[in-house]
Amino acid sequence: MKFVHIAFKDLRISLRDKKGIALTILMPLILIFILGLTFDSRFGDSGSVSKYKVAFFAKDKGFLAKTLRQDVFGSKEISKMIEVVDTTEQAGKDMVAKGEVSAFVLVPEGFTDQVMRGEKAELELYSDPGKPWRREITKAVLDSFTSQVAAIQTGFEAIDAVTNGIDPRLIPAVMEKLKAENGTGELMRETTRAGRRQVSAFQYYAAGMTVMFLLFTALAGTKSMLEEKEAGTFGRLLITPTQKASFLAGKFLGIMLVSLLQVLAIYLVTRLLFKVDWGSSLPGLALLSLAAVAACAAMAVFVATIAKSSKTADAIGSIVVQVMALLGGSMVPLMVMPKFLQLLGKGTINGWALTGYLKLMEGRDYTAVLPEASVLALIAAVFLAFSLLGLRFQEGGRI
Amino acid sequence: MKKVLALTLNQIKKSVSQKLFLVVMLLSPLLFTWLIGMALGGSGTAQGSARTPYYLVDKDRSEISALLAADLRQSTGFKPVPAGEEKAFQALDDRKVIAVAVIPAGFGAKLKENEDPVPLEFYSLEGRLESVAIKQDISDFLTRLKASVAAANVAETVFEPGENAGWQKVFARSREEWAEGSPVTIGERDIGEQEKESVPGFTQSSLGFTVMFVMFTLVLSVGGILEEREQRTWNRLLLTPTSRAQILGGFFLGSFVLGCIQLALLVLAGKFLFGVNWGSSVPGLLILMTAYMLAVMGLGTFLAGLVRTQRQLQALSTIVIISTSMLGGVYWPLEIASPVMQAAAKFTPQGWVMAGLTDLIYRGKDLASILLPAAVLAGMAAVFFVAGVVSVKLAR
Repeated sequence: MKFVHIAFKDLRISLRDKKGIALTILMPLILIFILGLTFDSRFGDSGSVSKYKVAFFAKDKGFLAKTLRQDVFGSKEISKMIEVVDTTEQAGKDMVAKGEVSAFVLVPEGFTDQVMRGEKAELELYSDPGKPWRREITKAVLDSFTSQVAAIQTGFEAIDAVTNGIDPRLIPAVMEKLKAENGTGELMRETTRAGRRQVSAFQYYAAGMTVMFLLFTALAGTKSMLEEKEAGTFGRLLITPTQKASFLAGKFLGIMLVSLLQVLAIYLVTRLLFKVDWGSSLPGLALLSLAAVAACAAMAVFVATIAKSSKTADAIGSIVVQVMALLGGSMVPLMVMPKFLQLLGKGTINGWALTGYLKLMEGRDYTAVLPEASVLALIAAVFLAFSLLGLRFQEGGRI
Repeated sequence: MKKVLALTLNQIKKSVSQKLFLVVMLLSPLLFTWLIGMALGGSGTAQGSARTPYYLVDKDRSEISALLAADLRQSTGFKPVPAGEEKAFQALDDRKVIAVAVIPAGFGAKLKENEDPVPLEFYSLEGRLESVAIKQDISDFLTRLKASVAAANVAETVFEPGENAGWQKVFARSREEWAEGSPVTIGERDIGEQEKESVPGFTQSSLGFTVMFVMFTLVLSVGGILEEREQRTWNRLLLTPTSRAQILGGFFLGSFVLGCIQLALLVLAGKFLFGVNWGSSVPGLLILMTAYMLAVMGLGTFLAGLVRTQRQLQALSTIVIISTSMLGGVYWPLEIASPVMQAAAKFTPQGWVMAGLTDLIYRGKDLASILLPAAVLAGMAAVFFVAGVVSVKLAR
């Protein structure tokens, strides 16, 4: 059982390396924290949305301008996101130009009248080109207002046309009723299925960063194997009655142990400190983590058998790891990427692992991650097999 | 001066002769720009690309739900694919689709009655940038449908049955009105004279990764001083009649020129490959980027002072550069980040250079706008250099 000795020796070395521990455990935690904070708003969690200013001026004296100012921008929900600054036309444009506000909404003269006469009407929006995302949010807010106004207007026009002109005495009643009918009722609801939960940004990046740093740990494992060869300790080991295969097995197990500790540490800290919900299936988590860690460790061993030097492995490796992290969805959710990139993501270890973790976070049990775990186990097996084959071909050569 | 230039050239030759350097410093930023640019919407639903599909489950099977389904098919951005409930949710579980919309039983009837509405149910996966857009799209069509139903309902209650205002007639007429497009719209106006071109996703990612990878080059190149020390070539050089200042001067100048070459290539690649408009103020861009490169070289010196070997520097700088880049708005625009992060960005060189670039490029401003960011970056450079020199001395 020499390989067990090698594995534990490696683990001991890793645990003694304080900088290494900082790299493998502190760094992912910091990144999870940063990413979680950044993207919470994009993931629809409330609370951390950055409030921004919008200037407002109504040249229009009608009731629609007042409704927009008071009932739309003044509403509880909107005023959480947007702070309205009342201003004049020129001042509003200047404020946008100087970057003091993100956008300026101008209700042009006669807006209400145009709408009431059934003519086309337009709100004016001036926005800071340096803040395209806020422009989109502001537009969405205005959109909900204009579509309500349009709903009433077209309704009125339709009734007017069909009845060959509404009796003027009935107009106020028709307007009131149209307003009431259009204003009520939730038309659409975002929801989840029974027993399922929506995955938050914090959760997403907790999983994303964990799998990305598993790759980094694997890379460090590859480096340590190559360094043993470069430092000559591998050669010495071969003089002792130790087979190359058990050297590989030992290294494989060693990387696995370090990675498992890493996953465990990230899991515990994110759970206790950041209150990240990793789902309710511990067997699922254990199974998936084991498979993911095995796949990463096997890849590390395989790369060590084919790489030329630790320096090349390091330089190319860190780029490859980052590209894999990107393609696997660790940095940007895969679902927003174009189809063919999603397909490429299927070729990454971290992509499979991340999908598995997300399934568990949605509240599913271990059976849901069996496909991911099997694929990862298969990847591990294939890499290990190739590593051993590589040994035969290169007796005496590389590791 | 000759010696300084010779050392400068040597520094550049050393880096350029490594194939790896070319891959890392030129190809990878382009790859990242492309990938993140697409993710941020560069590929977009804009031009000819296929409409993003989602599953639409009609459990209502009423006249209204059929109309809604027909309306949704008119969407320019998204494609509703009719499916059974089980199939749709299975696809969602298998992550083959990003969202499922279910029209529940009773939807049409309740919409007509306008009492206790049964809302359309929307289910989506995480990473909801696109699903938010789908939701908005469906919601737009729902509002229109509801408007027509409301008009017909009102007509029915206000007018006597004999007055030629039947429900179906008003409903149909209202839908005709909508077919011409919404009569009330939002008109976007420009304040400045800057032209809006280039895809925003690619502009953001091209700026970001140019900034980030120039930082990698400079930090590692400045950190090359560690390697000189490790290999004792530094000591040898000191034996020759060359002053310490000359050596350092050559070293920094070499790194700086290297950074400039990379920067120039990436700016050109951004312009011609990704259609990025780099603003109209060339002097502004030059001053800002020079200040940034100085700040980053200062940071490199500081980091080099903290560690002993080039290897350690590589590990440390990767972490420092990636995390400060995330904080500084390299990966995504800071306007969507939380207030805490926006404040934190003020402490990173990337945060300031991105702010300056935003002024130059998105807002089309001139030289004056970047004076503050450039000054702050120059200040950072000074602080880092001093801190670096002190830490190097302490380490000795």
